[in-house]
Amino acid sequence: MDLSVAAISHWYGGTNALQNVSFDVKSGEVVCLIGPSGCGKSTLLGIIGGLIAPSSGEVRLRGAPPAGSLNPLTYVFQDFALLPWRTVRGNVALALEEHKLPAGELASRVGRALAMCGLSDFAEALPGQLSGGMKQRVGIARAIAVTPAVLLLDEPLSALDAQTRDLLIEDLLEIFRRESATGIWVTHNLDEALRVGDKVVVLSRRPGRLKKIVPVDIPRDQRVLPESAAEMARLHNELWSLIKAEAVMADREVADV
Amino acid sequence: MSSALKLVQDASQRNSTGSKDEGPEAVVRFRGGGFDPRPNAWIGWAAIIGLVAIWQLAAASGYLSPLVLPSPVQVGSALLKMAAADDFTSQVSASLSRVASGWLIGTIMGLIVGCAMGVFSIARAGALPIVSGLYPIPMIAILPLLIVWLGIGESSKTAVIVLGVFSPTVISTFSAVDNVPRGLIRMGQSFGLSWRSIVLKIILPGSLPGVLAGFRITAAIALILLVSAEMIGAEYGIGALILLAGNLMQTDRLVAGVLLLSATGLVISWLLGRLEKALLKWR
Amino acid sequence: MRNRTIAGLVACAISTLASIAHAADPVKVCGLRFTSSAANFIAVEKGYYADEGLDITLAYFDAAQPVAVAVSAGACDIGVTGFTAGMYNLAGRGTLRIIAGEAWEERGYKFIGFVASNEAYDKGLRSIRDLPGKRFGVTQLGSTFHYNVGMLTDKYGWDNKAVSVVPLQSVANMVGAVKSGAVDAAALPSFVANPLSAGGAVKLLGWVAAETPWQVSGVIASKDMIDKRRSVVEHFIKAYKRATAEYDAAFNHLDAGGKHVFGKDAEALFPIIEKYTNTSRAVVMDGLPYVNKQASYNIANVAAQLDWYKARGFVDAGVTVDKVADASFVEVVKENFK
Repeated sequence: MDLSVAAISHWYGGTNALQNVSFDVKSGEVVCLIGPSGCGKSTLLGIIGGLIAPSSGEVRLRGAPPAGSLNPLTYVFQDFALLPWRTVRGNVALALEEHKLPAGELASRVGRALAMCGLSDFAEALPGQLSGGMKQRVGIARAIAVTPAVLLLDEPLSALDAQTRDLLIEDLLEIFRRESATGIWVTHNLDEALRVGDKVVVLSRRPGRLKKIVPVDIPRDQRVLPESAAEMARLHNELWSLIKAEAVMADREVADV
Repeated sequence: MSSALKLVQDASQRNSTGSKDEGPEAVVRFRGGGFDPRPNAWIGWAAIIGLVAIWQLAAASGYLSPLVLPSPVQVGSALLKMAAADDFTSQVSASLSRVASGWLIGTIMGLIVGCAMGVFSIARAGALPIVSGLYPIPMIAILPLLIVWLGIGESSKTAVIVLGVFSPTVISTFSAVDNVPRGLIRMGQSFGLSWRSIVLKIILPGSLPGVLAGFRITAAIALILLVSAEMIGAEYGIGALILLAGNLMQTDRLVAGVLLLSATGLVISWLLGRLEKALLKWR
Repeated sequence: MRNRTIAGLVACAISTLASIAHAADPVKVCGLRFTSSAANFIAVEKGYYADEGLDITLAYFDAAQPVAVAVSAGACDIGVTGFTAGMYNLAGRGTLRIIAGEAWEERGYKFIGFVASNEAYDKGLRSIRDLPGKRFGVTQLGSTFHYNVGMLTDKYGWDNKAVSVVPLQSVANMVGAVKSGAVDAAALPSFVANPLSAGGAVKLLGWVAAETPWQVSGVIASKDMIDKRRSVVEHFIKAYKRATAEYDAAFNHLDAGGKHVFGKDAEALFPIIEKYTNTSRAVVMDGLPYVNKQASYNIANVAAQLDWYKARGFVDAGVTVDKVADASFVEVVKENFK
């Protein structure tokens, strides 16, 4: 399923958060959204998923979602948003319970999602007993279980420490590969964006405008190889130069939000 | 010379001077610890026993006249006499049924209104001033009105407790609903959960800790109001017993009745603790 | 500097002590704003206590029972209050004693009245004799109101539980209950009963005084006061008796038909009673009980009250009339007045 963001603008009261942002996401593509803090990345993701009504513009979907998709636009949240009173299995099953699934399908969907995220042994654990990385795995399993057309990842790794982040990113890429999932991934981490994105959408400081779309043409599995290092460094520099001045200005602006 | 290199040099110089000039040696003194109160049931019992012992001593030596405070032995024998009397079970069961029914009705009404206020803006805006206005009403002052409205039977006694329990339940319930993280509700919406599912599966369980904490307060209020409730022509009841003892200046029976009431409070609080443990295992 | 300060404080303390020695004896008198305490108010207002060298401070309570507690605890030196089971229990512990009389329920006087709710009246509660089987509101068990219905039970030979006594803890609750028909009947002070029955809210059945004359109230003093400041108590009683004599002259009169009438001195005393009871002339005129000229009280009646309460477990068995009543300050009587 293709998705296009068409001329989105958004105001919070008198504050202009987003100004005329447009870009396309093709099926199977992972698009990273980066920008200085306060540029409206998370607002844009909220608008794309239908959780925030934009002041103007619209988000269009084209094509059919994959077979068996119960929730085409599905989020993975920065703070995991797990129900602490439900077990891992219960959290993954939460959205499935809404649908009248044929007997056994709920259990098989949950089982598959847990297995894919390496959670099979933790099905009966409560979120409070898990580490941050494991919690986010539950968040991802919950998203996979509904067979999404587009995954909306709102800084999915930001609440985790660096090592956990490196471990989880590999697993996530494997999941993206196996599910051939489409994704919009909000981050403030340039390395993360270059590691996972097919293209990187750079937003300016508030009001967030589309600054540039930087394609990452190296296949994902080759990005860590030594021969890609030079190109990766170039891309990193390009992104950093796009963002640096904006970030400095944004940093000084935060105080008068 | 780069600044990094200079730093390294400085460090090596400091090292060498340190080894040449042997200064005084010291062991780092531990200065953490404390500020970490831990439960100790044994000390709790010892404190109670110690207090009762001092109380008995003061009474026996004549420092404490029976008018000021009857001795533990006097109170104990009054309590035994009370418990041995034929009507003891009717005294206790009359009070317990008033507390239970008043608390249950007030709690159910409060939960319904509190949840509605937590979820619907109109309910909140409409009910908040009314509930806030009801909260500070002194029940003793409106007893004559309650008698006119409901007579002197069980309904007016129950109503005292219902009214006292209702407002705090409403307020604790809707602030508990408020405290359910908005992120969880947004998560529910993003996964296409129905309104009903969001209320039943996210808001209600999420507000349970706050609601249960409110129960402890309202259970205590119900017991406190028992005495007020039994001011209305009660023949039996722990509150009526305390009132009569007070009217007749039978201070030993008075204190015995108060002890009975606080023992009831302890039992209820223990039961609520068990309930919390059972329902909030996930915490 | 410091020495001078201390010297100044000492001088100040000495002069204060000296002035106390020369000043009037301070006496804290506690009671209710009831017309039955009119004699006490007259003695205060007319300076009879001051004439005896007493410096009186009045403190008001809203029920008889707390007055007895306050006297026992030493918060009040002297109390002017109704006789309740609680007071007798305190007296039994040796903390207070009755030293003089006050209101006596006497035929022809209207102090405490029996009222019926309109509902009960319509269903046949037309006289005091119809009370068995009815719910009767009182403030507290062991209060004067409770004793009133107890005396009726004895007088008419009803079964002990024939009238079901409902304790409602306050006069306000009693009024609410009898107005709404939650209880069938109640005993109420005249200043409450008269306006209610005049307004049609309740039906007046009769007066306690007409049924069962008895010693309702009196003057009590703490045991410390009697033991340690006996002369102050004696001076107090002397002044109090001046006022009861004046009260007697003004108010203790019945005409040939047995109706309560007032003497020519009454007019001058009404404003005093109105002032201290915070009520109107009409209310005062309606609620003046018989108070003995000599401030005497009926010690035999006190003994009878004790027996009644003891028989019902409201007063501890060991409480005797000797412990309760001190007959050394006024002349006590053993028969009904008049």
